[in-house]
Amino acid sequence: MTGDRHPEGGADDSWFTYRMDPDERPTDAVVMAVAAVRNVPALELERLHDVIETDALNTLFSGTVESDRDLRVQFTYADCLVEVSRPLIRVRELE
Amino acid sequence: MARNGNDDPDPPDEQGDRPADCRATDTGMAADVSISPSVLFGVLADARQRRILYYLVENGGTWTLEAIGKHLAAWENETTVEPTTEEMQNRVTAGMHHADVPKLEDYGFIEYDPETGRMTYTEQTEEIVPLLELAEQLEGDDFETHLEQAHPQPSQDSTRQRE
Repeated sequence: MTGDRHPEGGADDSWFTYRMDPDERPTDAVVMAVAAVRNVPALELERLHDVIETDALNTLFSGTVESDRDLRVQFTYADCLVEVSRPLIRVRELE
Repeated sequence: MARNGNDDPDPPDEQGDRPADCRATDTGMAADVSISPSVLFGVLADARQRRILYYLVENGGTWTLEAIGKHLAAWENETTVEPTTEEMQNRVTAGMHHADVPKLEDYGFIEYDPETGRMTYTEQTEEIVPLLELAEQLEGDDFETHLEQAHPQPSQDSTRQRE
């Protein structure tokens, strides 16, 4: 995995961008990315399962095919706005 | 979605090379399994979730999230426990805590204490052991090897009597 606080397309550097490995489980990646942004251990975040249907997220983004590239899911979690596509997860702290 | 009425469980053709003890149909699957097939197979459809159940059933007793996460990280990264990095283990452990373990708990397969990270399997899981054994045989990988390496000391209550 790689995580970077860098502007995607130079637009807005308040987004933290995390690139998922092809076989990385999307829910693992979301948790790790949000923990990085919030600067807390992943186990201390509220449980993701209490916020979204985690199986559904994994199913949506389990493929590695390029046709998934237009799929984008956004939700708020642990005071962050999270946007999942493949392979990028973008996280922005909400004020 | 028309069903062709042909979906009742035909007895599978005898597959001579299959040991008798893995035929779920013969095992007297407990009639009092109270979950729906959709829920049951939904859980078994997920590789990580069924592997958590394998681990708990094979090893018995109570295990921590970290202990199981370590072995799942090894399996998911197709290696043995030693070369996995702490980062891999942390990721799998966190993912389990946030997604897979709560689901298994919601559906009554495990009891989990998020404070201590300890979990144990329930009677409901015991009722589906034949299916878990069948699924495990179908994995076609060496997850069993990971299980055998799970802990150096012999497990307190060895349930591994099949071989």
